[in-house]
Amino acid sequence: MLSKRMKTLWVLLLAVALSACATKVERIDSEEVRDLSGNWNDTDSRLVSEEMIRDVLSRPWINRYTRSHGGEPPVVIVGEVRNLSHEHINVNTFVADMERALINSGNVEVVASSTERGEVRGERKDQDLHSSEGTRNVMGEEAGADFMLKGTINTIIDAEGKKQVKFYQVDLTLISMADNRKVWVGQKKIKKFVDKRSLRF
Amino acid sequence: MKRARGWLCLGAALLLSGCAGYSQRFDAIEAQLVAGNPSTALQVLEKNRGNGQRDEVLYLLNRAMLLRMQGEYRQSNETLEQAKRLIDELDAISVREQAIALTVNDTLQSYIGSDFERALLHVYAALNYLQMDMPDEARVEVLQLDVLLSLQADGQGDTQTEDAFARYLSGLVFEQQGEWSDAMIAYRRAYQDYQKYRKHLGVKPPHSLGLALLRMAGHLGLKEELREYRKAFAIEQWPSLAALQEKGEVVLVIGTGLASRKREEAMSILAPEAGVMVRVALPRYETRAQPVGEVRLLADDEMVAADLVEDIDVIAVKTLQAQMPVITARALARAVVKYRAVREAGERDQGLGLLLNVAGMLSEQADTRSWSTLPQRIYLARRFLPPGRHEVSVQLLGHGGQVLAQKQFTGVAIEAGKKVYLTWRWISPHTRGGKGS
Repeated sequence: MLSKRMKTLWVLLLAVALSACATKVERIDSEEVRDLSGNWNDTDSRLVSEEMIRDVLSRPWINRYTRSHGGEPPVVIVGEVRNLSHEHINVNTFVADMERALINSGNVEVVASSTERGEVRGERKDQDLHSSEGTRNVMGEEAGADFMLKGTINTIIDAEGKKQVKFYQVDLTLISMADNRKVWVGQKKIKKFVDKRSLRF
Repeated sequence: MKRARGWLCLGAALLLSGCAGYSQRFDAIEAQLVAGNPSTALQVLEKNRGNGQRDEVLYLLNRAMLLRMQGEYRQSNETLEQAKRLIDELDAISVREQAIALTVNDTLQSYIGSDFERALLHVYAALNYLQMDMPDEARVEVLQLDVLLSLQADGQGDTQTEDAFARYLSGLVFEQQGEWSDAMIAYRRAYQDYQKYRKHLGVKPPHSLGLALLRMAGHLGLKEELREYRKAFAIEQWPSLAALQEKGEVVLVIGTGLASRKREEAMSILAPEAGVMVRVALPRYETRAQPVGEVRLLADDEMVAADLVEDIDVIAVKTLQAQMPVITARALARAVVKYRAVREAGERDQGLGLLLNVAGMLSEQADTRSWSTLPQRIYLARRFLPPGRHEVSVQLLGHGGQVLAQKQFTGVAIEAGKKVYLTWRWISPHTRGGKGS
């Protein structure tokens, strides 16, 4: 009787031990918030870009521009978002989110960034040589941007022992290419308290 | 009988844990480095990875350094990032490892690096980014360094010296970004730390730091400080920030030699009344000879002496000295635990007691782990040059003024307002294991 119970116990133990070894994958919704290390993550990137875009599209600069330009929507280029924070943040996802929302709103036109332009120009040059007359796109017809979106990500960290308060501030500015005037400034702040564990097994 | 088997198991476990010390395992890697083959050294390192999680940080640090030596800066930084994450994870105190350290030996604790090694991790990550011309990423490292250094300094009082070179490098990064006030703050802290270095480690504030301080203080209009630095560095004339705007800068970072290694020093005593051998093993540094007396940078037929900015050997020895009371106390406590176990077992079964005694002796090992691929010393030279291509060369001179080695950097492209980082790691072909200290 005893040995039987022992056997079951062993099997159970083995099962537990084995289950701990296997890699576990669980699918989660891309909207779900899950903080692991306390560092900048996808949720922060999404929250910031969503709020910024809502703000930039609801401000008077768009109407002012379209009114003075006979209903034409403004053309925007997304410039550099500099990472001046304590972490190696991938700003590309954040910039891509911004670009997508701007284009999809329909109120603004967005032109390709300087790195993307290089490739497009190469292709155009190639077309000039190899494409048929009717399908060829000529050089010198690019749309110039009216505004440039630039920004920075900054952090302030206050740490003591295992405790940290992280403060992120993202500043974005929309600058008029014609006269360097700033037509919109957006700001989003995120504050986190991280308490690292002080004991482990 | 059952209990005897238990003892046997414990004895076997103890026996198994007593393998060759870390320091010995590193010999093969060192031989390759001395022969000038960092890529083979990396292969040896990969092969001897072993020991699971507890030596993983050390493996990553060494790997990153060997990759850097081969100019693989991106991979080196990926490895350093892994090390950072792991250190963060292992930083919490492990109850299990503490218990094992008190009963078997210290090497069974996970290695997370000493304070200066953790600072140097960020220093090398920043240098790698600067080498790849990614100043923004280097800035991230410098900010992380600031948090780390402040945490390390917390509650340590005045005896603790911050990493002065780390602060100096931070100043360089901020200056490159045109963040003058941040650069000034970092240079100022570096100066304060170098004054402690002079007192405790015999490294004086670098001349190039004096020039940087004067340049920044002049630009920011800090007249009082300007006077102080002029006197402290005995510099009468220096180029102002405005005068240097048209020029670019070469920053040369040179690592010389291989950091000293820890060795084990063990003592065995026979406790006669019980017939039990007691062994206590402690680590100590073996400092190596330091062949380099002077480092020179030659550019456009003009010579600048490089400054010694970090004497890693001296810092390492000081750090271990400071840790020694705790290490010794733990070793003695361990000796008591093992002695008791042997006596108890011996009372029941003499053979078992003997076996346990042997196991206990064999398992007693000093923790000789350290980031051994670090250089002995770091030298830094800065030189402002007009835009264009330049021939830059470096000479390492011995204590008698003889040329030990030299290297040529051809066609170094200088742009106005930018800094170009050049690096060289020189390990003397005559490097040998050191003498005791």
